[in-house]
Amino acid sequence: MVLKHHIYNYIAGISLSLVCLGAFGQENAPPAPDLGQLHGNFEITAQYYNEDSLIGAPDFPERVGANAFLNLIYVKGNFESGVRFESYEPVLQGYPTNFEGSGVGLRYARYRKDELDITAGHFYEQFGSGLILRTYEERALGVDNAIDGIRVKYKPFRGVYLTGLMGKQRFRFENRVQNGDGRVRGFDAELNINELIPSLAESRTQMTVGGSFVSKFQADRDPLLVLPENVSSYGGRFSLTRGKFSFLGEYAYKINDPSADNNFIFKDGQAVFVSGSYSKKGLGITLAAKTIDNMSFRSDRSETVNNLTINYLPALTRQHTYNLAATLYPYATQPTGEVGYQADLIYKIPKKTYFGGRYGTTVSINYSGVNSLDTTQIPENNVSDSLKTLQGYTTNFFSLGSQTFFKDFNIEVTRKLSKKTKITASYVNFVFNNDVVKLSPNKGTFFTDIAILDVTYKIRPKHTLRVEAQHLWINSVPTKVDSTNLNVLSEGELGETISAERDNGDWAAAIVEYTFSPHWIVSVIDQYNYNNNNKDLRIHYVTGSVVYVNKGTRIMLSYGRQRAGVFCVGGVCRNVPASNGLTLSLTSSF
Amino acid sequence: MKRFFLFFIAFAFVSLVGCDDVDYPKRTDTEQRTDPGSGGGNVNTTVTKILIEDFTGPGCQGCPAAAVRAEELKGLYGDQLVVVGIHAGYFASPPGNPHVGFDFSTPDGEEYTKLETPLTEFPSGYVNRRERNGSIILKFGAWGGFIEDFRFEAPSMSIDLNVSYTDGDRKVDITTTTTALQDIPNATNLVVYLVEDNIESPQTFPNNVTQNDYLQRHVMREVVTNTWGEPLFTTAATIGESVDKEFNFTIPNDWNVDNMTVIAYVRDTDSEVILQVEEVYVK
Amino acid sequence: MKKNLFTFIGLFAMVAILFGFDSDSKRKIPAATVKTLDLKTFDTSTISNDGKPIVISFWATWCSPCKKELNAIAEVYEDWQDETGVKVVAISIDDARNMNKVRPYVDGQGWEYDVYLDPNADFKRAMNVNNVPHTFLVDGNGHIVWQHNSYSPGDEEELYELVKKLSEGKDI
Repeated sequence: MVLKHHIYNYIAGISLSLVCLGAFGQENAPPAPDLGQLHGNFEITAQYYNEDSLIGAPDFPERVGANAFLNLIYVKGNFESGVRFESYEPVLQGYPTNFEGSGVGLRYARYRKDELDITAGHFYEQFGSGLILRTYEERALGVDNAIDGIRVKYKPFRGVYLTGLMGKQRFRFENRVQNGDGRVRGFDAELNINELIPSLAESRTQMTVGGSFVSKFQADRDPLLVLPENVSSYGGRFSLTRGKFSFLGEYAYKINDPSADNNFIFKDGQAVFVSGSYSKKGLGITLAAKTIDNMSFRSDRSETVNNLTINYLPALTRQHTYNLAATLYPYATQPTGEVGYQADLIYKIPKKTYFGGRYGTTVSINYSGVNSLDTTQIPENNVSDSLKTLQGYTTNFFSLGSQTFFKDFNIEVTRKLSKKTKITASYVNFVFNNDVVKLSPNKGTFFTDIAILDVTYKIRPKHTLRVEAQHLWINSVPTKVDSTNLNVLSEGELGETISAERDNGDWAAAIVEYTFSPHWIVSVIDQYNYNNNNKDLRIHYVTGSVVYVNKGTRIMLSYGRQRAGVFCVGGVCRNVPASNGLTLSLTSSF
Repeated sequence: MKRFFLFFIAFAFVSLVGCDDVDYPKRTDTEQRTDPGSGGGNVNTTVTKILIEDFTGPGCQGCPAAAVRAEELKGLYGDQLVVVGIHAGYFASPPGNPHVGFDFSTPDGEEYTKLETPLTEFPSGYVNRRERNGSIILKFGAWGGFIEDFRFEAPSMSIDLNVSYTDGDRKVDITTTTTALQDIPNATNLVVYLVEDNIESPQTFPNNVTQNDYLQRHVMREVVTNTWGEPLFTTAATIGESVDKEFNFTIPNDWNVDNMTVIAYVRDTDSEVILQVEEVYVK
Repeated sequence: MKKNLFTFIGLFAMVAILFGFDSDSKRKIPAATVKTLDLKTFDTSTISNDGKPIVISFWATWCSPCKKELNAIAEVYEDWQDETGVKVVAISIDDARNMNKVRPYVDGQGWEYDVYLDPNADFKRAMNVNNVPHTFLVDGNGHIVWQHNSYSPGDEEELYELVKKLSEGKDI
């Protein structure tokens, strides 16, 4: 049975390759009839695992894991079609385990003509910023919630953009893509005021407004609760740009949607996101705020983690790039409720000034904070018959709760010292409430300071040496709880104190990277947990890697220890278990 | 052009009408179907009973909610529903379970997490190890609705489960008579669990709050048979065929016999579906 | 299982060698919908530069090498434009999390590029980009003639050699 399946896969794979050959062969022949064009990309990441009980890398009996993807897009005139062949033989450690086997993971056909755009099959779509609908693929995280159905986009007038869609969402992969339980239906309209009203076309003020509706259907067979089978949400958005200023606002509302995320309460949900910015040459300022109240939205109410999400709620915090800051304590949005705000400034001190130096200096400062939403629990037995029941809690719009989920203050200065040397110095301060975000099994709120120094030195043309040094200090404070209601208390209130731990203690990290443009990058990274509370875990995590790049192809070979950590792209994260071994990764576009 | 515009209005309409606002979410048309089982003695099955295997762990913040749901369903279905809490996976052992000395995981339980694709999201459960949408892994919110899908199916097997216990040597004797009530095309195995209910131990709740006197429900302590059971009918079974089995086990001193039950179930070795299950108190 | 795996690697590698390393099939910039920095809808197939070369570079505010590449080009962009008339189009793949920071960043760094937002990766997918940074070179006829994944300091010099060739009407 299994063997038979694999044979089918080979046939599918080989015939796909032959299609490639055929198409390319035709293409090189001069003025042949237009047979269309075939392009694509592929990616394979394979890892050989060694057992390493010290760092908690489990024994992996199959030794090798590999994820591979081959995307093909065929375009001819107004017609386009695409297929993605996926293979998990077996899936890499840390990836969602419900990805298994090889087969077709995506297929679609699309027709575009004039103002009409029709897609049948899998598609990715986003309404506004995604507060009520965003289907996307983040392959590095194993996130793919593509809708399998029909989408129609249509432009009835200048400046009016309409989108309608319906279908089921991609859920698991078992030799083929498997869809989730619920149906998603959506409609979005976006009006560009300046295009719509010809006299405003050249106005300094640019405005767009948009509105969307999304509804999901999932049958209710629940013997205990009357669950809403149709859950709808709607949202509106507005953006305005005038000269150096721009403003963006978005609101979303969702009717009662009991789910595993909100522990089956029947309260409605809402979310607001506002952002304003001012920018001119050499200066950029962004201010943003958002609130989320019970806005987890999935096409299967019983699902959890990253499965079958309909909307997208990224964290309103800086996305860090340096290793320790990016992967040890990244914040992830709490979709049940939070209030967040962020300020971001980038300033380029002009060159040939006292502070700017000979080549200029770039300073960026960022601050963000996320708090709980101020809520009042409704005791279920106090609710009279005339009221709606199972509402869970009440809250006031945008009200800041006392509990801090996350805070981040960071400053980064980049300066070119000479023609050969460029230096970036950075300081990051986190307040990380692990009791809420739950990244590590340890309790308490962690206070971390991170210092980073990054020096790039051009040895000679095309030969560059880069050295990075990082250090992370950590402290934690105990949490106080009310031992009867199990609520976390703010400072000053009486309650039981839960002892805090310094998580894994302090870290130091260093990277040495040598690049020889345009083909080679050689690097060694060492992350040293030298101050772990457990003396046996004061380990060097060393990884060496070699990258070869040729045009659209990149091959990477790396060997070493990888610590357990959290890997995030955008607002979504994935836990990666510790591993020790050899990794081969190959990506290519053609 | 007009036609397409109408088409879009239809789309918008579809999205708009889909809106079920629920005022009274608790079902009132439900009543307890059967009496809950009593201690000791002899029980004979006549309906398809349901086994929820709830994968849990003391470090799993979301798991108590699943245990509550299982009890609510137990209140509804009575002894047609058998619940077992299997401590396994990341949150059952250190470092995922920070409560030292309260690791109830077993090698057998860990094996059960790998029955389909390895379980990494907790809480999750199997309901008779039947597939819903191609997977036997069900989040707790889906258990009730799924049970409704098959609970009226005619049983294909009956289990006559007899348990006797002697206090002196803490020995439990288990005898079973399994009878095919329909023709069964595949080989079947019999699996026997020893389960201890209401073990007081710490449990992590949301916000990382620990409750020290939490009662762990229906904890699977021991698989008396092999992990995947003793062969019952080695090829197929015809209607009326019957097999007797005997097992015994000595209960360790630190297990509370008063809270212990024996669960016996029949597993289809080809489809992995649990055909029938039975539970009886040890004492 | 392992045998399957190696066969797959072999299959993919074969495709890689056949096409990845020698991708000289010419195609036009595909059509995808992106947004301008003031959130107007824009069709990528209309990207043009009066018969002069175009560099299309995919980047993100959270991607250090991407920013290094575009900052390195920014330093010499005026010279490039004077000598060859080349235009750089920077496609930000930042999603809703960072999309509102793109314009302040671009202005803050003083980039003179045409910048577009591709928050749901529609154009990225249409161009078959695996990861950023990924840079394409488009000739005067609108054909994609070269591409390069990742960035090492100095890569911009190789890119400029190719831009010069294109502007002199040579094939690359």
